Amino acid sequence: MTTSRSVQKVQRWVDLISALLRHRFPVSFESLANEVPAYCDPSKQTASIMRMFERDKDELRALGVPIESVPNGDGVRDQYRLRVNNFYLPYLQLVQDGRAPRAPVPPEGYRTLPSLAFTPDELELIVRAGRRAAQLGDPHLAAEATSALRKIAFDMPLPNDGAAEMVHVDVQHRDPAVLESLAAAVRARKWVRFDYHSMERDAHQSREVDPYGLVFVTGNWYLVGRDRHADARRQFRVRRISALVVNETGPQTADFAVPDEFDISAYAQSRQSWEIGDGDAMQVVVEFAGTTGYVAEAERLGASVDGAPSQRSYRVRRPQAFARWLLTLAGDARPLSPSAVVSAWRDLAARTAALYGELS
Amino acid sequence: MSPANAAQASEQLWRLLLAIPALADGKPHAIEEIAERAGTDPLTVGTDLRTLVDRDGPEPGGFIESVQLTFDAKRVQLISRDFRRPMGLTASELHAIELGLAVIQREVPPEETRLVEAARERLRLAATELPDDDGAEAERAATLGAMAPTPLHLAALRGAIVRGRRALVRYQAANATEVSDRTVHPFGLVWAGGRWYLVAFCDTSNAMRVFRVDRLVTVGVLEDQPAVIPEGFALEDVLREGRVLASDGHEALRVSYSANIARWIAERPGAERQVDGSVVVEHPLLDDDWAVRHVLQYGPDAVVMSPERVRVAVRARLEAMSASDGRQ
Repeated sequence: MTTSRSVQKVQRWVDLISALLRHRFPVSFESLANEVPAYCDPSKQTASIMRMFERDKDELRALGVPIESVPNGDGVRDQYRLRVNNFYLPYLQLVQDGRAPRAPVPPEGYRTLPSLAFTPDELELIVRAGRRAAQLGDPHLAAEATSALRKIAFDMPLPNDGAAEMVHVDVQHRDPAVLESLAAAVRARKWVRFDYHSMERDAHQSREVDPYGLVFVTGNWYLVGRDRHADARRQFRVRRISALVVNETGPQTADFAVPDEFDISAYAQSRQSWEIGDGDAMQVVVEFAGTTGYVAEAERLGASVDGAPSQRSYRVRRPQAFARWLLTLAGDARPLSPSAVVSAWRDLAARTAALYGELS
Repeated sequence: MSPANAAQASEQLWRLLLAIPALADGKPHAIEEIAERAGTDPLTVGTDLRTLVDRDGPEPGGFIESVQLTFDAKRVQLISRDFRRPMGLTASELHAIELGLAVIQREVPPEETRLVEAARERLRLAATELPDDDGAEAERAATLGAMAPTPLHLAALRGAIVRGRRALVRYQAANATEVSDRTVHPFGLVWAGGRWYLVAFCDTSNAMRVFRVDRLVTVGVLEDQPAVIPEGFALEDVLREGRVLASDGHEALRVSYSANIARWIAERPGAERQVDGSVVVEHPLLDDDWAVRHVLQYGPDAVVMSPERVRVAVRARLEAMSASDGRQ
């Protein structure tokens, strides 16, 4: 029976990793070829085998296997190395009562691996973090987090308190392949083209974007990047992206550089709908009347106003969105200034009331 | 090779790099045990190990020459001097856990953020270091949007849940003007629709209840009072259409959303498109106050279709608003 190409590749990968790990010092392709059966196939030409090796090496690096290319005496990077200490997982230990348990004696060839001690609190946080990442609605992220926890569990039993909390992300209508392809484009720094449904304009537009990063904010994934036509930074909700194409030319070459000052974590800020947008911010003062839990929660979102304990001040970029939010307080709050927001709120209330018949 | 085949190959490699070290002691192991450690089923791990050694050609050579693999129906034994440890965390695996830690960092009290930092630093030592890695860790970020005092309450409630203890909570419901003290048996914490909820049996109400964590005023753990958790309870059971609800079987709130906002509403499950471009959605109706506030957030772009008493309640609120505004 002939082995499938996929299995042949796995066999070559395993053989190559094993051969590299057996050498403490950098080794040439010619030496490796003697230890990887697929590379010493007499029926194939050397150039073809070299290409196969280059592909295998690049694929393994892309998967995270830290194969180094090392220069020879002439400065040519034709030597290869995989350090044992940089490949294998350190020996993980759980510290109990301030002391780590006695480590097992490692077998020959593994004695240089370091030990790494975790406190129960650290391990619990790491396990929670893995489970949290796995619940964010991104299958690729979930697979990576789960795989990480499996490796950690190799040496230490994981605390089993996963039932304590659950994050529910609505993944309906979401194409997991889009998120995965975007993540790959971000990693490889390749520009992407896609069809985007702009909800404000209710229009579909083709966009070309240099993808800088992905951010999950209150239940949705967003792509953050530079819109190449607008030459400006934009955010796109991933579920509104379709017909995604990732630039396939020059797969080993980045298409763009992410600006030094770009910090994806700055986009992971939960904001109210009235705080979002490019418009100038205005201060809106609101008078509260009630003392319900809903009012208390709304008051917490604003700042205090000197000398007026029943009033709060809000920084607003979208007055219409703010007026709608005030409506949900249903009479327990009313805007005092500026007049534009007061008018917008009154107009909204009047038009809403009209839907339910004449007021008595 | 197609992307699907490449993905298949990489998944098989990862399984093997967990299965082989799990057999490193050279002794026979139950196939189920090895499958669990590799994150797969017994059939797949058996196939993986066999394809590792079943090579084309008469002289395999290399790594596989020193490998001995033995199977029976339920057990597997492998002798190899290679791969006796799992591979360290890859950069992608490390970043996935770091992302989770970044989310959690916003949910823990300030004094615990150093612990999160320490866990992150320790974890980095378990990761492989790629040559030419230029900081790809910045590719993802996330937040669930927890706000103070939620982190303190989350930490206390989580402790109560993990230790199986009751809690004394002071809660102010959305439509209540007073706070109430309740002894609860916390079952779990659920994040949905941008908020954290405590799911618990409430001794005061003698029923299962859902509390929004950001509406808890105080949380105290009753260390001497064990919580009673119903057998077979699962947090998933309280999720209905993306909302956290303590019971099912309640009546429906039917809302019509205008064509102006239909495209946003249609992104949610259960939306019925109408010929005029509007969208009708049926929501589980747990309390009328929630219904009034829900529909008012859309102003004139949403109207309650049924039940009639909620229509009356919306109208009454708007009348009261108008009267109050006119008096100012």
